[in-house]
Amino acid sequence: MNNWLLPVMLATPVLLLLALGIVGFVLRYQRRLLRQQEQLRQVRDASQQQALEAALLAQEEERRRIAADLHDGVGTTLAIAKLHLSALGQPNLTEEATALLDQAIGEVRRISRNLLPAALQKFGLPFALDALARTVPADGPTHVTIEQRGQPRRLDPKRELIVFRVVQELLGNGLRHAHAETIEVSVDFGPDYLSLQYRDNGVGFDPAAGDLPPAPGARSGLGLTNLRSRVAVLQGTLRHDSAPGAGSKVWISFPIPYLPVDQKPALTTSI
Amino acid sequence: MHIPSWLLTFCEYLEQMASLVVLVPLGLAFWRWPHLPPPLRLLTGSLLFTELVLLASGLVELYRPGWSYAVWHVFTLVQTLLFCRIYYLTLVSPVVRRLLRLAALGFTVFAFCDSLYLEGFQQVNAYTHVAQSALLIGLALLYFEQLLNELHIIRLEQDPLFLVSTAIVLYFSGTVLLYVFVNKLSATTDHASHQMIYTLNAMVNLIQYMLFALAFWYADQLLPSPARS
Repeated sequence: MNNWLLPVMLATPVLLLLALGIVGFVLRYQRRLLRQQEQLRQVRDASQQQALEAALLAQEEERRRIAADLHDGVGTTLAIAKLHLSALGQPNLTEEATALLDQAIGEVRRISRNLLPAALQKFGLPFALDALARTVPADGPTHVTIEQRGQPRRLDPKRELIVFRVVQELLGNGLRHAHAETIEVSVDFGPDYLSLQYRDNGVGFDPAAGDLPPAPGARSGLGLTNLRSRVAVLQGTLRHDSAPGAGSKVWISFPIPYLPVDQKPALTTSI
Repeated sequence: MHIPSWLLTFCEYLEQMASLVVLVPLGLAFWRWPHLPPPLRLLTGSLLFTELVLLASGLVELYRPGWSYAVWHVFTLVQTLLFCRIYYLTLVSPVVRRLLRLAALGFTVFAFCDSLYLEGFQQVNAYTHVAQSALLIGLALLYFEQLLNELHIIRLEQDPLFLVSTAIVLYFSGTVLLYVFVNKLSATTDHASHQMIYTLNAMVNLIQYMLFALAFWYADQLLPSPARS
């Protein structure tokens, strides 16, 4: 047998093993890099979520402060001014000013209530939604209905406030821009989720035009950006369907742990 | 060293099996032809070319004994250029692609020099084979590096070009020593030595063809990349 054959026969398996080692290393290293990439993505998502939550918290805190200042500062001053007017004892001269002051006091109360929904804190989401529907005049150009399905229950106060703000924003956007005859909002309290459906028969908007600057007087659907932020905080999903002249529909769903029936949420929320 | 006769018989069967196994990747390639991206179509061409060269070298050996080496010299050059083209379509980096063009040109010049001046047409072109092994293993490693940089493939073991590269790395690292000494080894008239050389080649060929077959099987999983269009 040739003298060269034996070293070749011995060295070849070693080379093959080395080649296999390289392939194995590439496979393992790729897995590890993918794992690290996934961990980085999760950390990034979590920090984004935290930043979003912090921004919303700050916004709600600011609203609370403005509501308190309006109610305790401006509201009280207006009430004192009204007292002074009535102390003059000349109702004929002060009647018009008193009416204007009453109107201003009512306006301050309404703004303050919108900024910090006391009904939500005291009685919870189902009651606050009913109250929200009642704020829209029944004889106005738009007929609003808020329907609650399932078993209406209390949620964690933070979640209740976010859901309430979402409904408030949907309704506000609809009333301001949709020019609809009817707006229907349905809230479904599922076993471990809460879903919202919004539907109006208004002017609709072009969903594709969201990235372009809106034409004057056109409805751009930009309110959806705020909605998305709020929905994202609760890790929910948002879908919408609209076209110019065809009304708008929005579907939102949140995964929500409900509070046990015997557990009442704290009256003062963290937001 | 004495080699038992049963082992020689086994080696002969193994060699015959390896030459038949090429039908598996070829069959899969034709079956999945509509889904095959350009690099795998080139690989199919390379396998067909290998079979044609096998046939041609047999015919040449029959009518012009001693000249079959020339056919294999041409085969080494064309096979290398086909694999260079496969990697040219696969590798994304413009610098690497420019270097690859230069390397292919350099290899062609070297292969001609080897066949015409260094070793001649009357023996195996061992130098060209070694250069081929170095070039193709290098290209496969460059593809591995690209995979680790891009990280767009989740299951590497199902990426056709990863399987092709693995086959190339295993085949050429398994046969490079064989080709370094091939002319010294084939100088002997010992049948057992010859059989061992063929068996070693057949074994790595078998692995290579099985990996090529897997690559064709997973052909539709190849992700589009700018260089693969």
